Amino acid sequence: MKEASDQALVALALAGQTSAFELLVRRHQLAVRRWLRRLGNDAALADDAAQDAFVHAWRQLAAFRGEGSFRSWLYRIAYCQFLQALRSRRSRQALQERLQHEEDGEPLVADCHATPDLERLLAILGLEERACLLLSYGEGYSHAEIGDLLDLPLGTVKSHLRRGVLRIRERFGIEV
Amino acid sequence: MMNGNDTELPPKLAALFREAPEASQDPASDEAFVQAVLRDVRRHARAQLWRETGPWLLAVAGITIASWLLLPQLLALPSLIASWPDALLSSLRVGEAGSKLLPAAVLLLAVLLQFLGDWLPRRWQP
Repeated sequence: MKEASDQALVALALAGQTSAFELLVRRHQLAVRRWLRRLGNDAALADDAAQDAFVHAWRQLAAFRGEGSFRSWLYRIAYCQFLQALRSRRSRQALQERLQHEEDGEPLVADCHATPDLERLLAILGLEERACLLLSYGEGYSHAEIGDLLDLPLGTVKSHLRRGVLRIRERFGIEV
Repeated sequence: MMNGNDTELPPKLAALFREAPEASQDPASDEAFVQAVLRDVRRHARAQLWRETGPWLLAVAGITIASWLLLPQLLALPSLIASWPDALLSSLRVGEAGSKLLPAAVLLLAVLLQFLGDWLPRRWQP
């Protein structure tokens, strides 16, 4: 069963084989949690959202039609769960305030003399810019796929990516 | 199983989350992500540099080439003026007209390149 495709495992899980869904969890859990951790820079929140995402996926498994990849479907659920978790903990406001604070010229973790690393790069981006950049550069999704996944128009995805790249360039003073 | 109200997470799945591997540290993929972003940031910087300087470089190159091609005509201008009726007659011949067409075409090309160099990179923005 370990060699089976995601679609096949979903079919087995729907037929009642819990172990098939366990395998799906093992296969994708790390990627989902890592993505959410990068997205929010909050390990506890990310892990809670990831767990909620898998629970939600389990309950709504019949809704997976196999049109895209199972991982994309999971990411979409995980993103929704993550946003809900942010709202429910009122962390979103705090995060936005922090990001706004940095945008206003008082970076907390990023400065133009520092070598950009993952934390510094992500710290200067807004939530949707982060999500777009992580999916594009980290996961290799196309712009259209990101649009589907985050429920954003293609033009919005492109402008988030462009704005993110511009912001990184300006903040870290990257030249040719 | 999935068609009724039994939507509780199976016990084994709950255990999977408890014993989940540590997901925070993955320096290799972190570094790969950062490098991919920085690569695109530099590409963006190069595109902007080309957008700003490219049209001017093309225009200067075009004008230089055109001037070089026109030089014989420019040098011959005083004598042409001195004997303008002959020059006028000779310029009406097919061969002479062709030789004057080339610099004009180069100038036109330079203007076209200037326009394309300014306009196309904007259209190609991701």
